[in-house]
Amino acid sequence: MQFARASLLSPSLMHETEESNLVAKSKIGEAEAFAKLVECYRDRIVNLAFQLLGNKDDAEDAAQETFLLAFEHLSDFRSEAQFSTWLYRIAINTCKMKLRQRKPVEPLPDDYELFEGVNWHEVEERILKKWQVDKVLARLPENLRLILVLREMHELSYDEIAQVLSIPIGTVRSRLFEARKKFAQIWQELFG
Amino acid sequence: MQCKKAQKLLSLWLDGMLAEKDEQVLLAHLQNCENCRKVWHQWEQMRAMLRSYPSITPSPNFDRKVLSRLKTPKAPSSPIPSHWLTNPAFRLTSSAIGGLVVMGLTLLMLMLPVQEQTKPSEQMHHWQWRVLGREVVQWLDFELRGEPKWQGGSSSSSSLLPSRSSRC
Repeated sequence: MQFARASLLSPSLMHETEESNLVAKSKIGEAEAFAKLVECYRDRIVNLAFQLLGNKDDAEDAAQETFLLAFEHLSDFRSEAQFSTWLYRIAINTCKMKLRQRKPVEPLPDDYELFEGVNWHEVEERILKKWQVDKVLARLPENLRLILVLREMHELSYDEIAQVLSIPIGTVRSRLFEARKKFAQIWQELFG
Repeated sequence: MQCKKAQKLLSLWLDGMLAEKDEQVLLAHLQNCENCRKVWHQWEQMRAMLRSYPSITPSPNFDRKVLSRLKTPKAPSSPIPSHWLTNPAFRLTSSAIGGLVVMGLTLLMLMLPVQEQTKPSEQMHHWQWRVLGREVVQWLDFELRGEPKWQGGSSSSSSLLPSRSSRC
């Protein structure tokens, strides 16, 4: 597994007009236009799935399914909403489905590949941190886990989170507070 | 200010969503409350940890996999399950039914009497002239003599002349 920092926070967000054009063309079945949308959003969607599912293979599967579902249901997408928000929503639902189908096993950070020129101490530390975070996230209720991932890992604004999760902005505020409190509490219990 | 209220504000403050006047109140509380300062540091650490969560790079053929599945047309759904088509019993039965239907149709065609083709337009023409002629004669009789002569004749509904009520 590579630990290259994907461009989650500085995505090459295309201009809104360009995105609208691509969406419109994709709606009439132009695969080339949709390919550009995939290229733009694949890192974020794959990583969102990785953060929710914990391993790379499942994350790639879920991300692929997300894009296929999006293409299939593009006619349901309303232009007044943001395409990214809509895509996030599909990805979250796809991951929820995968989690329900999955047998209860702990996500293990052992799917990395050995290669030379690696600072193993750093890798171990990162793997340990990932394992710890996974453990705590897995103990959070689903609604709190989701809101933390969207806010802290994807840095979505309150408005965007409200749209993705279809909840009022007041609920975003209170749920984030609950999620932070609970995360810190579980961390304390597990790792002191 | 109570700690619970302060921590709610703290959550907003971390996200840059706190109004300026509330920020002043919160900072004043943090200066005096060690417990809330501890919570603040915990949340800061938590944020750092979540933000340093390893990210992955999608495999190089990710786009190709997605696009190849997009282009694959969906197989049209058949009303007959595909496993039936390979079933020898189903194939034998369907062949027998097909053969019987063909035989039945052939026999039916042979048994039907051959009818001479007539010209319907011509037949209609003669009939129309006959009825019309008879009714014209009856109508003239009525007009000249004042008595109807068409009792027992064709019903008014089949008459080609206008009805009595509409004539005047």
